[in-house]
Amino acid sequence: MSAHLDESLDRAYERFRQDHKALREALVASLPASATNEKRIGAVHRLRRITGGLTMNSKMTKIAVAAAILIAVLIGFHYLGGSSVGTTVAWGQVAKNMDAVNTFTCRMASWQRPIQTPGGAEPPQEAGVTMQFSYSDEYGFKMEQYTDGTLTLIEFMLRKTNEGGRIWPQEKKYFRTTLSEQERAMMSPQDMDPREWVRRFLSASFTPLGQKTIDGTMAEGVEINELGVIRKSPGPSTIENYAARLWVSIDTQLPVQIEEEYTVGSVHSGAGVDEFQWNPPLSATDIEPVIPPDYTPRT
Amino acid sequence: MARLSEEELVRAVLAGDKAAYGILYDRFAPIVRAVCHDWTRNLADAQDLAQDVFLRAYQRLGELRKPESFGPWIIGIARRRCLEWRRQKIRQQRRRGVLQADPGVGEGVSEHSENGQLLTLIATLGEDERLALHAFYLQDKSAEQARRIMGLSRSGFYKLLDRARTKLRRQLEQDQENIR
Repeated sequence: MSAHLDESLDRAYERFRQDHKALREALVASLPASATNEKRIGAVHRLRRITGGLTMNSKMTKIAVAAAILIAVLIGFHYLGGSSVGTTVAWGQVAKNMDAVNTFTCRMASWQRPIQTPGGAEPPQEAGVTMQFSYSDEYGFKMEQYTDGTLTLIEFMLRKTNEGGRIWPQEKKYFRTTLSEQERAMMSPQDMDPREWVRRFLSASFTPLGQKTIDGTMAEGVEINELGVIRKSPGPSTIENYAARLWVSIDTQLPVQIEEEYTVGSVHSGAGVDEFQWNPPLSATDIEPVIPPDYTPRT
Repeated sequence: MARLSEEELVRAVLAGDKAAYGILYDRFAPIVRAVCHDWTRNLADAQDLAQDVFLRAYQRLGELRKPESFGPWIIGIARRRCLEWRRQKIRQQRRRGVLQADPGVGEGVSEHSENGQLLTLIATLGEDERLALHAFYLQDKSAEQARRIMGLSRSGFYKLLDRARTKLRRQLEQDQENIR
């Protein structure tokens, strides 16, 4: 009986070898050029959540904060030391000045609120999420995310070691990995190149906003209302009433504030980047976060 | 090349060698099809699912922490893919206004041959017992390879295989009694 069962099983299992050769050829032919090394790609996906995912429940908040981060990254790499001192901004010069920026820090915040109804003057509701961003051409970048004043996430990319990662202080977890050159490039697409961004801003059909004082600095602004000029992927296609504004200091000819706002459905959202410091002395330790020894890796 | 270990083959694939993935496919596609067949009870669907499993595994190969564990890893992917397949089936049936208790059972039957009936019987065994049979009979009856796939000791594997075969034998005897 045992031998008979064995033979029967052999025969039965033969069917799983049926058409094997043809199936094998079909599979191999359909394989992508190379197997994805998910350890690395996964890292990039996680890191790219800096601008896309974040640890928030509201979809709109995600969009708004993502916009804020993107703006900061776009702005990030600009300008330094324009020489003009006058009563207006030399817009053509601003773009040129961008190339001289090596380091910067800024604060990013987003907000959203229901669309204001006639007679109801409701102030913008802070989303409760702010980010402190530090960038260095030499060392990379670090983003610290605060939710209701508590540090909830740190993201970083280290240029010298080609490493990137995230830290979740509340959970005492971290993720850190080595990035390939290709992955680093993925994290700096042309759409996020500040020089390109400023060029787009200034070459678009913008509306002068005049001058106003921002945190004690006299600034001059311009506004763009065409979706997709500054960023090619600004968010859902249902975005309306879009406006992106750039405010530049008359004194330093450097950006002091960038903001973006729009409505999606019944929600009005916005994001702002301010508190810029251009070319501050940033060292490696300002960019590379210290991971406490009691933190454990997150896989 | 065919004598390379799974670990060496995985590393070769990650280095861009598609032929190495073909060898992994040769080694594990039959067992993946068998695992899928447990869910689909239909060879064509099982073959389709197995192809998808291997494609997904290829795209996620870098996730594999222990390249020497490719076998258990891809079987895990197959299980998850089959669960997904089952959920899709349930949704389709709901859309059609039909809902079976187990959308896998009774699908694509045409398994009236002796072999088909035996496989149907195997599908009624516990998951570990099924996998023990699949691994043994589709890995050249190598207990060593089969036990590695299952993560069991040699004695633990033999115990499980014996239990599966005993259950199967009893069921076959019962079926023959019923026919008489």
